[in-house]
Amino acid sequence: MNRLDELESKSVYVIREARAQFGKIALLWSVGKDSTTLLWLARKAFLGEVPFPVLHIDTGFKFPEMYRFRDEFARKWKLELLVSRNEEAIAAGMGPDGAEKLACCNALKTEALKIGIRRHGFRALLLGIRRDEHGIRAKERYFSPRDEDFKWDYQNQPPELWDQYNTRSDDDSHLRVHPLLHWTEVDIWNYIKREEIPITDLYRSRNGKRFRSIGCVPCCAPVDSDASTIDEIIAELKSTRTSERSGRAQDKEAAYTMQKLRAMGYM
Amino acid sequence: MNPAAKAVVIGLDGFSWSLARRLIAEGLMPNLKALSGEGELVQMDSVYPTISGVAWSAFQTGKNPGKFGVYGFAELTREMDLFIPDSTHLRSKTIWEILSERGLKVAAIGIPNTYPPRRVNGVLVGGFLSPSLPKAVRPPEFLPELNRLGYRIDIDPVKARESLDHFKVENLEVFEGRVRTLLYLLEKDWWDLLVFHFMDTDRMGHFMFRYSDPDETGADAGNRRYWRDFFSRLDGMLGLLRARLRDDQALIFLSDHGFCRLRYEVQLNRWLADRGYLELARPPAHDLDFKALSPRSRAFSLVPGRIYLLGRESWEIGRLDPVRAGRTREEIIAELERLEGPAGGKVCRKVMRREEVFSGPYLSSAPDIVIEPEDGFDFKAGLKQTQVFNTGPLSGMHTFSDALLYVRGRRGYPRRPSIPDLAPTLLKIFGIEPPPDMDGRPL
Repeated sequence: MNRLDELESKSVYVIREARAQFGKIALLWSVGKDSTTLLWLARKAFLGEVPFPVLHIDTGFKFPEMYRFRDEFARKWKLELLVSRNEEAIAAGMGPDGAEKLACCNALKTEALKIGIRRHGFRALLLGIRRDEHGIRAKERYFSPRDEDFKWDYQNQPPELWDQYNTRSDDDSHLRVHPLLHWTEVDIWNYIKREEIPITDLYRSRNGKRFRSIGCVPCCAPVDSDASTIDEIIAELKSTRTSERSGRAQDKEAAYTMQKLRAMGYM
Repeated sequence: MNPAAKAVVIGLDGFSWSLARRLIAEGLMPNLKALSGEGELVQMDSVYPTISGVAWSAFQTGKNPGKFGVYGFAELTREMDLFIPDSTHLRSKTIWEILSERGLKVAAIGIPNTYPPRRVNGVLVGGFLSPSLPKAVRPPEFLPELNRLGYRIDIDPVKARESLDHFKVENLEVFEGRVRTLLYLLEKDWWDLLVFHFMDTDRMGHFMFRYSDPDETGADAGNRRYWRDFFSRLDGMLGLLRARLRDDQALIFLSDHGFCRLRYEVQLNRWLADRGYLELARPPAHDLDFKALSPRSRAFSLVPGRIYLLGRESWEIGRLDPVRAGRTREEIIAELERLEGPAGGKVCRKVMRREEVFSGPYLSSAPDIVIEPEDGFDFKAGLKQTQVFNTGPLSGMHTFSDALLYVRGRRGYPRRPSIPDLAPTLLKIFGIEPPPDMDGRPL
């Protein structure tokens, strides 16, 4: 087996395992390259038809291209698409205004996700996060429990040795399942190329700029790049040293530190 | 001081000498009173800029900030990107490392600016601003013990600011977790030096200082009771400590700065803008959006009371040549010395040039001007502020000259102690000659 086949087969195994253990699960689809790859793998795992809903957290601030892409492929791939929004916060005018970015993420993403999970009673969620993405994600497991308050309890985290995935979950929590944990950014692109997975054009260079990571319009900045094909993107990634999320407004950890300092009056 | 086998140092963050004396006089701290009979509570100087991250960096290194390069809780890069300095920015060896190299065992718990934890012979647990306990503990084997003891890094200041009731509960929980952990470590006794830091006294100062004054009119009686209750418990901790320490265990406690009542926040960037020293190229996205500064700006400020001149060598947008920078600095100093508060009276107690305060290889990253305010005026640096003087929810602010020092068995000091003196004093206790580049001297 080559590397991509190995990655694929491990992910498909985790996806099927999650489905078999929990039944009531959903796949969190942000429409970005990673969760779209995850969706592709879920389709493969179940022979083209995803047997559980796909949940999209809509902050109202996503790129128009993302909404178009979402609706087009939900139709083409016959997905059961659920959209969850924190309508109350949106109506109250919540937005990523200045230093309030963290509050905005909390209200429009975390709260909207809670609303979605509560409404549908999901026991586990499939997420497209990767270990190489971000410092704090390096500690994630394939199966990571979250408690009622959505806090991630490092202590209560079951060890994962070899392939003994621990899939037990307390009643009051939901489990996050990360089938792509072992992939790297370049793996994703190589796989997208091999499988010809559709992705939004935001990742391709336009006027010397492209997005390496996409989310909400106000909090994403494009990187300088002339890479307009998948091959060019892969070549670029192999030579770059800046981090994938460098175009993202603020990492959550740093943002929270700032928030603490502001609360103490040190800012 | 007599050589001792072991030493215990208790950090009482922001617990001022004046407050300690007042609480003793009010009869709330009988154990502190008993201890003061076995030594002396002396007033100590903090460091400039007077903020815990810098003060405890001076404690760990025995140096002035010019030799370790940290001047505040926030710094700007040349390109005006904000960053939060941590122990990786502390460009100096610390007493933890010096003692570890000599084979002595160290336990350093909760001290600000020790995160990420450096390797020590013993255990080190990072303090305020550590992102989480698991990341702050070295070696990780100590983490289950801390969890069992209910040790937590700090209260959540964001929630505290939203709700004082929340703070009051959480603050006691955190304090009790610390006391349990301290008693556990005293019992374990494997260390030679134990430095244990209490952040809770500082939190009391920031959020509840107004309740320190029995004569304050209109103060909520329940909050006043809480204030007194908290310091009784703190005294209880000192009593437990006093009862457990042996004669060969030296006891020192200190605070890193004093506290006084906050009357006005002074928005220095607003003040600089009003006088034409600071210009914006666009509306700032938030209070700390320093990228919004126009290259026509000549100066800006960071908390607390740090003013930087936009010299062309130091800042990407800087245009001032050294001669103009020097002249501008003198103009700003003269104007600051004349600055008066809304009700009259001076705002600045001391306006200092950086070379008067700091020395060492990192002098070039120091603020060009450092201000010590008169009590009641707390310097802020928001870029979106419309008024120079305003009031906020916090009722306490740091002071430079009212920190506290206590060394058991010691009375009378040849000179006024200051925080950098602690590191060489501790080394002496263990018979180690302090490195020559330490600024502090043994007491």
